[in-house]
Parts: sequence; C-alpha cells; structure tokens
Amino acid sequence: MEEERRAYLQERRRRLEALREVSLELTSERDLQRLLTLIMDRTSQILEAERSTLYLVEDAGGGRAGNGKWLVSRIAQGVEEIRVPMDETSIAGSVAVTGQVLNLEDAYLEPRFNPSFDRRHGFTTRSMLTAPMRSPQGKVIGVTQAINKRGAPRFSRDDEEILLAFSSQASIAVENARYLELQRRTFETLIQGQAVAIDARDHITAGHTWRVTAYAVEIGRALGWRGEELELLRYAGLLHDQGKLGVPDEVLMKPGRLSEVEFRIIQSHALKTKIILEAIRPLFPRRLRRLPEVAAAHHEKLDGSGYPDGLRGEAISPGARIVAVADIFDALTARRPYREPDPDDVVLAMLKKDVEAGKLDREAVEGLERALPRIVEIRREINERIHDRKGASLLREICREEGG
Amino acid sequence: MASESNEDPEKAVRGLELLLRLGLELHSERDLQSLLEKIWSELTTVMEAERSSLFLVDEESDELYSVVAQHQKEIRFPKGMGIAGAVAATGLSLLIPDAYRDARFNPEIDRKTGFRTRSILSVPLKNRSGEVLGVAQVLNRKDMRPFQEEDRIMLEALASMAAVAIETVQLYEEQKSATEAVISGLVMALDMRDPLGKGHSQGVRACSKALAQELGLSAEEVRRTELAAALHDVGKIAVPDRVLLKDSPLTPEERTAYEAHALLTREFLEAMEFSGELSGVEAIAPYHHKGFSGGGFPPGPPEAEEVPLEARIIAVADALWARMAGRWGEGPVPLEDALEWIRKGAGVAFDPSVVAGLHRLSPTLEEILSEKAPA
Repeated sequence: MEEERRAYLQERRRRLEALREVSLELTSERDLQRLLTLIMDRTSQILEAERSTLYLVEDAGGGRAGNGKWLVSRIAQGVEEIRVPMDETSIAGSVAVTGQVLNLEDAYLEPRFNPSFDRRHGFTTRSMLTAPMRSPQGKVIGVTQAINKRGAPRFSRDDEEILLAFSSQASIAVENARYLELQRRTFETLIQGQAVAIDARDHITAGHTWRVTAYAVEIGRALGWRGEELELLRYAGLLHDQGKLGVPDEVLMKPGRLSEVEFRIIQSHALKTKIILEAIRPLFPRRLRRLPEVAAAHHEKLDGSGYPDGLRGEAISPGARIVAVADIFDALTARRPYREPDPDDVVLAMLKKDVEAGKLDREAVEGLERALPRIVEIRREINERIHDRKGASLLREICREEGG
Repeated sequence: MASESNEDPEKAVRGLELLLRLGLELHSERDLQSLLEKIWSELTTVMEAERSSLFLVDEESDELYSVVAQHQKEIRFPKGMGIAGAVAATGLSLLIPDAYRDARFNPEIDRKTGFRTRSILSVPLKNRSGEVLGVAQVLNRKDMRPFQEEDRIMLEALASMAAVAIETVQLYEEQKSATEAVISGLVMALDMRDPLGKGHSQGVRACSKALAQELGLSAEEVRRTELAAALHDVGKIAVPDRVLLKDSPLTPEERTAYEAHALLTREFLEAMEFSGELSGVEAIAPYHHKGFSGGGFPPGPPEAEEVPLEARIIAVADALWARMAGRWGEGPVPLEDALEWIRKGAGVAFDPSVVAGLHRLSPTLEEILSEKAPA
C-alpha cells in the first residue's frame, strides 16, 4: 500500500513537473501564432496522443449559431481550419458550452462526432479527450482536444486532470499574447492614423508619407538592415513629416513656387518634428529611442548645409541619411498638380551628383539604386490605393490590411 | 526541480500544485506594481520565512533596487554588492546558513532595524534566455532551522515563474507607454498650429480625467474618457487656418467650417477601428459639442439623451478651457468667471451633474489644468 502510494506520488510529481516546465515555456512565448502551435505540440506530448487540436472561441458576428459564437481550430497540426458553432451540435462545441471534460474511448460511438475530417485525411480517430480552456476569470476561451492515446485504449482520469490543468495554463498564455497583440495594434493604428492625417493636411503630396516609409525600408533592406533597424526606419518614415501638422495652411497648400519667407516656414516642419519627437522620446521603448535622430534629421546634409540644425557628417545618423534619400526621391518623382514628375533615372543621376557634392550618403543612394525595381512596384501599389480616396477610407483600408 | 528521492514526495507534490496555482495568479496581473507586490507577499508565505525582499535590476545604471521591502524605503546598490548583488551579477543562487559568518553580508541593516538575520536564501529572477531581471530573497525560516536545499529548489521555481510574469507585464507597460507617446506627439503637433490651442488637448484631458474620477466612473471608463479627451480635437486638422485662427467673431459660413471638425474627428476615429483600451473613443470624442438639452453639433444622432456621459464630461472640460483661453475676438477670462459661465449653462448646454462635479473640483482646478503631459 505504502509502496503503491509512493509510486503514485512519484508519477504525479513527474507530470506536475512537466506541466510546470511547459507553463514556463508557454508564458514566455508572446507571439500568438507560435504560442498556439506550441500548445498543440505540448498537448500531444504530455498526453501521449497522436494528434491534438486547439479551438478558440470567436465572435462570428451574425453567424448561424445561436449565441453568434464559433469555435475555430487555429492550427490543427498542418490541417485546414475546422469551424463549428459553439453549441451542443459538436463535441468541441458542447465542451465549450458545458465547461466539462469529455473523455471518449471511441469517438465513432458518439453521435456528435463528425467523421468527415477522418475521411478527408485518411485518419482514424479512436479515443478522444476534450477539455475547456478557462481564463482565470472563468470564461471559456477555447477547447483543447487530444486524439488517440498512444499505448492505451483510452485516456485515463489522470489525463483528464492533466489536460484541464494544462488548458488553464495555456489559456492564460493565450489571453496574455492576445492582450499584447491588441496593444501593439492600437499603437500601430495610431501611428498610421497620424500618417494619414499628415498626408491629409498636405494633399498636394498625397501619399508622400507612405511612399517615403516604404522606400526607406526598401533601401535599408537593400543595405542589409534587419529586424529592429528596419522597424526604426519604418516608424521614422511614418513620423518624419509630423511637424507638418503644425505648419500654416497658406504655405503648406500653396501651389507653385514659394517665397523665401514661405520656404522658411515650410522648413520649420523639420524643427517641429524634432521638438515633438524629443519630447515624447522617454515614452518610447528602448529599441525606438533613437527615433528623433532618424526621423527629424531628414533635411540635414552631410556638408552641413541642411536644416534644422546644420548637422554635419557623422552627426547625421545612418537612418536619417536613408530617410533623406527616400524623401528627396519621392519629392522629385511624385506627381504634383503643378508639374510632371521627373523620370526615375534622371532623379537617380541627380542624387548621385549630390553624393559627389558631399551632400547625400553614398551608401544610401546605392541602396536606392539596388532597390529601385522593388520601389517602382511599391509606388504603383501605393498610388493605386491613394488615388481618389479620402483620408478616412484610405485609413480604414490600410488598417485592415496591416492590422489583420 | 530535480527529483531528490530522499525528500518527502507528498510535500514536493503539494509544492508543485501550489506553484501552478500561483502561476495562474501571477500571470493574470497586468499592472507591474500589483504584480510585484503579489510576488513579494507570496515569497514569505510560500517559503515560510520571516522576511522577504524583491530586487529588480535597473539596466541603465546597473544597480539593484528593492521593489517592496517591509517597513523600508527603496534601497539601491550596485550590482555585485552584498549577497543579492552577487546573485544578480553571477546569476547563481546563494544559500547561506549563517549570515554573520559570510563576508558578503552587510550587518548594517540589522543594526538599524533591530532585526536579526540568521539564514539567507537568495535566488536570481531569470527569464527564459537566462537574463537576470532581479533577485528574490528570503530571510530566516520560521521554524528556526537554516534554509535547506529543497527550499532553494522551490524558490528557484517560484522565481523563474515570477521572472516571466514580470517580463510580460513590462512588455505591456512598454507598449502602453509607446501608445501614450504617439497620442502626445499627435496632440502636440495639433496644438502647434494653433497658438491659442497650446496645451488645450492636454488641459482638457487632465480636467476630463479628474471629472470622470469625481463622478465615480470605473477605472476603465476613466481611462477611455481620458483618451477620448486627448483625441477630441483631431478633426481640427482639417479646419482652415483662416477660421481657426481668426481674431474676430465667425461668419455663418466660417462657423459651419469650424463645426465640421466634430464630424472629421468622428470620421478619423471611426476609421481607426480601435480595439483594446481605445475602443469606444469614436462614440465619445466627436460629441463634445452636443448640447445637454439638445442642439449643438454635429447634427444628427445621437440625440441629446443618448450622448454618453464621457462626452458630456469632455464638453464641460473643453468649454472651461476655451472660455479661459478666449478666441475669435473674445479675450481670456479668469477661472472663476469661466466657472460661473458654465454654471449658467447647466441644464441647457451642460449636464448639471457634471457641472456639480466641476464645482466640487474647483479648489484644485488650477493645478489640474496645468498638469503636464505624461511625458
């Protein structure tokens, strides 16, 4: 008896230990897609199952199901999406509704079992263990399902307990990853919304912000920039003309040549961008702290003849040099109401001249040249989207595309 | 946790169950301060210790600082100093049966507090990539024995969980602050165009927040009110300077152009399709010029009685500021006069309950209106 109890405790300890390890692994994964894959892998592993499926509750918005909610298998280990209404008509649905574990020795004896999946994939489901994923607040956010216990005809009582415990660990990781995703999306939406506002203010140059952003990122990529460096370039592009929001209409919207004074006023946008970005710098995550140097120095020239600070050489960050090249390239190749765009090769030749004159960065212009085919393609895409569209509908479209 | 066959398996199982339960609790926290307090309070309970401390690494200064320590103010010391410092520097746990026999132990704090440290267990808070985020430390087992190897195993398990939870919440805070940065930047840019509007959005935001709190809104509603207030004038982007900056009363045509900003705010915010804490601002911000008993702008729905309380709050805060700043030929007026003017509008332009809230706040209003942006 003593011996038996000891063995039981040892086994239980081993499983709890495994669960603790997995919990650490799950909670450390903050990317939702990778997290979901990880949950499936670990379900199969811990429960010694052949396959597992993870369903998440989704609001269908006007779906057929009574409560308007669906269970959607996010990734079924390389299999297509399964979508069932969240009600008693399916196994996953009823587990989500009742919140009770369902342990089946033979799925084919269960009337709610849908064999069409087996038929399509030449798979034979035998035993099946399905558990609800409960958030810490008690809400069912999904369902985990382990299929075909290896080396035994069915899943045990212990397996039920383990899958339930595992599912609550998994649900918290999912809720956290979603929360973070939601936060990131809010940030993105705001930055992009602001870019639309900037462009809306300066409708003569419609789409300028988007094109400069895309060009700068492509130049960076051509120069071998990666990851966080590209991210920084992207945000710098989106914010580089932020100061234009604070420039008076009459100069901003004046068609044709500007007077000396008007030109000065226009130039003040770079200083305004700098003032704003410097002020909000402490709120940015560390990886974006260099944003002001990259975004606000796009009118500086290597020989010190630029503005707002007349920075020279090394004092201008490599990112700012790229944004500068992207900015000039777009200014000269974009269509304006009062003049035809210059051909790309003519503009490129001009930029090269500026390199020789010690104004622009050689590498950045070389990057532009290498990325040119891609840039031409991007320009067409952006211009098609922007043509004839008002700010808000454009914004809606962009947000939908990027926010997913 | 390596399996040690010589210890009580029942206790080990109980410990693991406790850890898993705790993990759920820690990982549900979304606020750094409450997370840290929870971790700290669990340390003494779980470890059956007399005292516990939690230190975090300040990466910028390479120091450790105490997050929560009983009856103590924040302590700061260089990484590497003392026992916790050594743990942070090496990333290795220290189990010290008798503190007074260890050269790294600093008896100064005992001398000051009258506490007598006997044994110390100090473990690093490491994330999955092995970076040390901080140190968890417990002093004196309650049963008077020194800490044991099994205690170290337990505390290390707790610490690794805590580290992941801390890192997660730090990510939230980082992202939240980045969003705050974008809002501040946008608002600053808007204000730059309009010298009269300098500080307007920030002032309206601070005042709206205080009003929402005063009127007993939930934390979530207060936050939404605050964000909607920050963004309430986004639509002014498209109001021409000749209208916005005019220094005499507006003509009807100019007034129409001005009033269009509320619709533009709506269009702009609706297009964002916000989720998360900003969701719902599009149903608040555009309606800060709707009259309490009808009228105002934009025309069309919502009807007066359907305008959300958050919007009625922003309406009062916005009017107070606008009255004080003056515009279109009207000079600035002092706070008392502006308050009086708003009182007269209670029940007509403004929600009387909000106006009452404003008057309760009036002793602190100067301070609230001059509150700095979160940067």
